[in-house]
Amino acid sequence: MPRVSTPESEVAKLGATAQIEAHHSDEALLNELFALAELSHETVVGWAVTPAAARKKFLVERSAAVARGDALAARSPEEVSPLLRGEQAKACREWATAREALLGLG
Amino acid sequence: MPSRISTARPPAPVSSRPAPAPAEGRPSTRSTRTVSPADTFSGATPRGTTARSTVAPLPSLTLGTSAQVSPNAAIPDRGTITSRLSLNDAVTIDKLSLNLDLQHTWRGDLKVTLTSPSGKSVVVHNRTGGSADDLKGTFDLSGFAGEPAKGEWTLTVADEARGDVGVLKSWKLSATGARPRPTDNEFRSTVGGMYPPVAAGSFFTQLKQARILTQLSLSAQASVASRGMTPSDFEVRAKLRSLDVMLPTQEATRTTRHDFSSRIEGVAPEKAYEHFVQNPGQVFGAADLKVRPGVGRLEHGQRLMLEAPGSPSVWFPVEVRLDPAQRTIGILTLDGHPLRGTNDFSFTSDGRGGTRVEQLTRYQLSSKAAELGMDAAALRRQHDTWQKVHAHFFTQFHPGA
Repeated sequence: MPRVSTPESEVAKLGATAQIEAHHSDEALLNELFALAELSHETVVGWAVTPAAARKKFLVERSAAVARGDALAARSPEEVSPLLRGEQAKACREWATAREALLGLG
Repeated sequence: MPSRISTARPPAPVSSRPAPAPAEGRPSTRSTRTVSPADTFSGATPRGTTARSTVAPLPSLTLGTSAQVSPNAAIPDRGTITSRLSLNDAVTIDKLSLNLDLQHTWRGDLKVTLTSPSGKSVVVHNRTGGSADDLKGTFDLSGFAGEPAKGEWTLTVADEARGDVGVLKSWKLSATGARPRPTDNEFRSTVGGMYPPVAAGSFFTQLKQARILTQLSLSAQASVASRGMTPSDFEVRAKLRSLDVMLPTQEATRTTRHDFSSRIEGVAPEKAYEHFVQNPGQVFGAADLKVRPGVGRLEHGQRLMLEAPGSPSVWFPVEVRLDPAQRTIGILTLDGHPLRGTNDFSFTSDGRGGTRVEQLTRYQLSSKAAELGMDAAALRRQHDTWQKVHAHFFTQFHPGA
């Protein structure tokens, strides 16, 4: 489930179609960042009971996942839709924590 | 069609590869007869139109069946007796042999006839042999070639001359041939409801879906270009997690129905259902759809991207619903899928020892952008995709197709 879903009435206040489109793109990327952080957290928590094959697969994929998260988190709150700035900052914090834990696995 | 939504940013994933429900493929190569666009998807009255096609005939396997009876029945002078036996296996006869043990003091008195379950008769012996005793040995009866072996066979022994008697001690039938193989999965499709499909949902919802669809398309193209190496399965799972289930709106009149059905002869519904659950990669792979992330089996609540290669390549995000008790598999579309809809498979008994596969699809388009590419050809590809999946169910259990 997406963490953020801006009510239509709020989105409508943005006015121009281009801004609304940009907002939806930002919202989708924001939700992806939240999901990456959550999945990373779950991976860390469940690491002790993760089967060896799954561990190995994840370790291969980790650098790409971190790179993706970093790319999504690289956008400052000012660069995203004004309706999402607070959530963007929160997602960046969650990602930073998850990222550190993720890189500690091995 | 006028659109309020910009589709200028590449790729335009639905302009040339509109979506199936929830996945699409290319024309079937296994069908002996494919459904033309005119059959199903176009013309003046597309609603409720049905079409039928088959899978290719299957090669045969040689096998045998036999049975023996020992009636020890007296053959009266100038009398007639009959004896019956049943062959239990369904075999189309290639060779049939009769092994006969009949005692008689004047073989030339006897006329022996064998009659098949379908009523065809062949004279095995007709008063030859003169005064010799008995009628024993094996008779090859090529006259029954092509007949079904299964059922009750009748041996008739007639003593047609006065003075001698005998006993029908035993007789045995041995048939070899091919098992009659199903050659038709009775695939049918029906299109109804809103046709052609149209976009549903509010302007803002459609705008949102179009943006997510565009983002997913970029990922799909990267995935296909890198042969699935990019993005990683971890990222795909995260992406799927960030999406919401997107069911059809309540505007029932705007819903397109596209239903498919087929039959798998001789296979229990439980087995067919389990095949789908245990082998999603094979099932979707039959329609050239790759399942991402790779999964060994379907799970209730599981989310998947069905990846269609092509130009442009497309990701169809879906969620799986399983009901083992009812043997149903539901596939719900997620945000970013060109369609908003449901795709429900059910595996039920066909009443003849086989399985009836019913697939009920209900969908609307998720955005005006999706509407641009939804033409008759797109719907035909959707038809072909699911035809391949149904053909897979059939050939899986009847190998050699």
